[in-house]
Amino acid sequence: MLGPFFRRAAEVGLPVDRVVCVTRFGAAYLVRRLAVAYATLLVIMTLLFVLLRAMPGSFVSAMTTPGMTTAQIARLEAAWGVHDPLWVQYGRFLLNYQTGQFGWSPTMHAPVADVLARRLPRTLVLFGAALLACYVVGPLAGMVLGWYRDARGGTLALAVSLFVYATPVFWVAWLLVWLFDHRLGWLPSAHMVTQFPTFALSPLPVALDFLRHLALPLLSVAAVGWVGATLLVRPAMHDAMRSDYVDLARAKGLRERTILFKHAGRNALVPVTTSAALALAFLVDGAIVTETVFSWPGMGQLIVTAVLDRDYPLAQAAFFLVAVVVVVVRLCLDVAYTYLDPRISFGGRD
Amino acid sequence: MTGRAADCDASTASSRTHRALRRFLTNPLALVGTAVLGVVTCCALAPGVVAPHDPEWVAYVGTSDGRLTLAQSRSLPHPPAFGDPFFAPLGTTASGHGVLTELVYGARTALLVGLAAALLSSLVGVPLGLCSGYYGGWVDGVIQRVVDVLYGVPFLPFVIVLVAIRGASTTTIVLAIAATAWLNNCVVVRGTTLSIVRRTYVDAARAAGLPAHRIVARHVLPDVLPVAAVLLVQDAATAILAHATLAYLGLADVTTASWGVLLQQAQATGHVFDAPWWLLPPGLAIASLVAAFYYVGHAVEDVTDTD
Amino acid sequence: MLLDIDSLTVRYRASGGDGDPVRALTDASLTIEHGETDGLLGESGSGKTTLARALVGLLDDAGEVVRGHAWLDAVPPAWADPDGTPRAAVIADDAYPVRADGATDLLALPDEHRRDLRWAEIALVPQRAMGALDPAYTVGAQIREAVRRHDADADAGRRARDALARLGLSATRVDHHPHELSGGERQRAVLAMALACDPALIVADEPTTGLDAVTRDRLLDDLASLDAAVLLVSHDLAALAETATRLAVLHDGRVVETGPTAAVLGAPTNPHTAALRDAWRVGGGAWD
Repeated sequence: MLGPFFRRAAEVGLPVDRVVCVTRFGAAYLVRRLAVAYATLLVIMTLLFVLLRAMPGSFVSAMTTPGMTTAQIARLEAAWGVHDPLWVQYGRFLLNYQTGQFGWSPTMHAPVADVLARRLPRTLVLFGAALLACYVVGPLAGMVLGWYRDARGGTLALAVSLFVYATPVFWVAWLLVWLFDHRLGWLPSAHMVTQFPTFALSPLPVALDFLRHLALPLLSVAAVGWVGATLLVRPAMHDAMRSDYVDLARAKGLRERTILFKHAGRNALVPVTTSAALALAFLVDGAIVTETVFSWPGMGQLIVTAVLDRDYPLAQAAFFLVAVVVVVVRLCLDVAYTYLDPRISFGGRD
Repeated sequence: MTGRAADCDASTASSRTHRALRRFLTNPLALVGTAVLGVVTCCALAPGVVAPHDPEWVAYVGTSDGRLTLAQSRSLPHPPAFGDPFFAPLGTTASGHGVLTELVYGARTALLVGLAAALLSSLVGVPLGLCSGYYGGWVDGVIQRVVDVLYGVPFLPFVIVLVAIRGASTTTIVLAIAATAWLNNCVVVRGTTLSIVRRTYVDAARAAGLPAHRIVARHVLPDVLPVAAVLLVQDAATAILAHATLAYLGLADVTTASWGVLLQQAQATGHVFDAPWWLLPPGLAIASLVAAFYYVGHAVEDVTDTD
Repeated sequence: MLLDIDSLTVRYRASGGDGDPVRALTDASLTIEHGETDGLLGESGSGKTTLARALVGLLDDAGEVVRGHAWLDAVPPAWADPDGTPRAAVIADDAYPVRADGATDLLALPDEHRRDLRWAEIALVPQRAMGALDPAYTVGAQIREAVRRHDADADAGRRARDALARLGLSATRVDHHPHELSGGERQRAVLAMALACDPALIVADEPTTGLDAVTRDRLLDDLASLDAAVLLVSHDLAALAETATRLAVLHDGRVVETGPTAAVLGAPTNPHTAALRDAWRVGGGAWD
């Protein structure tokens, strides 16, 4: 779509290759993905709107306390616009959500946006670390499992991996807590920071304390989640191992381990990003569960407690924010895919 | 000529199935998976036969209406006992119910949830995927856009919200799981259908004026069915795990016996870390059943891939 | 003598374990001198690729060398002095296949040492080399990888650029990925990669398949002009007639004829050779 423009610019002498590298996948593709992302968020907002109003009784009734007077209740209902026509409520809801006005949380006694802003980074840290751990260990394991697939123990290794993937994350979390906290006492099993610290409040001890608290939740999710990436890479290794470039690599006299990781493995990584959506879903769900087990004060725990406490403004905003995070990460992964597979040329024109 | 071609197709199809079946029966993963599924199904179909006690059985007093002494109730949850003072090979819970009994009776819920959710998501996803791949054009476009957008809905938060609103019944959970799981079925079946439809003999059949359902039945389905079967099995696995997770979060139906509820009770009564006979078996049961589904799915994939 | 193949016999086990093994090569013998360009002619299924791959130990799992020797005038670096002469200890060792004159039996080497000799002394350029470049790495990176594997001290970058230049590819190709090159350029790039390690022998398996006439001719010229010895394995009689000085004809796993190209094609003693030559002549071929 922008091809002629780039060619002309190159003729003139502008540094087009730099620009083109960044928009390697082309403007058209990017716009399409953004449109889908936006539509997804709109659908989610609508879903939330519908779900909330589908509840038995007025949803405001959940926020009223027995001691309120009728006048107070009427004011509350007016503030929430309960008596306005549905489409007006819908429009206002959409507008508010897109401008970041998420309302007030009755249980937290604070603006929802503030609560979310505090909690989001904590979940992102856990989620990001788990993503990293799974997507480093997983593909490597997949490469090894795929390479030695027909060796003795290849099937057993696969069976063990599948069994690990089949264990519930919260159960694994409990086992890890029992081992590392109750038996060994190495790692703490609740919260994000020590409640009553006995160490000095300078950066290094605080950071270490945080990392120690992060360890078990991270391990719980990662211990199960790595298998997802392994199951994607392992079959891709099967094709890679029979390829002509692996044959040539052998003819070049390269060592088997080099061929395994650098050539077969590298090419087997391509399907990982295309199927990453499913793995992402697992990690999000895993993060929610883990936060609950370890009382990690993040978004996941927030959703669960807000829903159970019937704090609807908070619950729906938290849901929305999680959806936003997922959509954004998927978009980033789409970009990463094009860098991983060098055969994709600009924009889909060629 | 069409008749002969059809005969050829049918004979190769059945010999392919024969070979696939033979390979399946010699696949170690398939055997282990099927064995575990068999055991769980037995527990589900005839729990009274397999379990050592009735579900109403309580330690010390059995099925009678007696009450426990203080000393007796203090001893609960009781570690495994093999006759003295009662028979509970996996010990008891805090309320005195036998863990093994609860485990056997919980098998039914696990299987039901898994299979129901899997069947539902397949019933929605597979036909849509077939239509999307076979007809292409605007049908494909619409379905794909819908799927693309719905993919962005995070699974567990959605299920949590849905269950919180509509109440924690097993039906709701099954519906909620199926509502997000069908997407994957649709996308994968669409991919398989597309690759089959592109082959020239399908074009020829279309040009010959054969009705769509015959083309699909004869040419498309034989290749799509194994893929759909693998997806079904994976959906069942995911559903069982999701149900267990919801139970842990307190969002499952606590009146029905299930492995997840068993674990949640351990947590609710604060005995997670001092009653390993209560903590370990349900977790292992869940993992074993889910792994069995994974094994069978993997074996089916292996067996049909090499064709 | 650079390479002395003696009674090489290879068979393939039938798939599934049942059935008799198939003899792919029977008592094949061949010699190659330093710097010579030799041809191995045969139809598909005659065993040419089997021979080429057996030399470097790249037969697939079903294949095995039943008997035979392939003495290459080179010693694995692990057992050689810096100037290439074999150490006295390894010559004295009966179990290790190195002769006093510095020749090594490729077929009897342990895998690890055979890998050291691959590409550095004997470079097999497999069939379909056009599609054999790793799509994930640049051409230059792959050449440098080969150089560094066998000669850690070399200036890999310079050797890569020089090798590409030898085959008429511009230095800019170093930073290009394989999919950015045409088929003919990729074939030449693989050949350049073979040259980069300066092997004594290049075994090229069907290097002209899929090339247009101009690229094909150019490639054959490049092959003929190399200092290294070349064993051109092909069913393309025309290519061999133009390029090879000596020719060996393979039929059904046996070497049925060897000799100078002109002699073999001008006066074949074997009916198969004659048949191949006649078929080519009918198509308008001539070798002078």
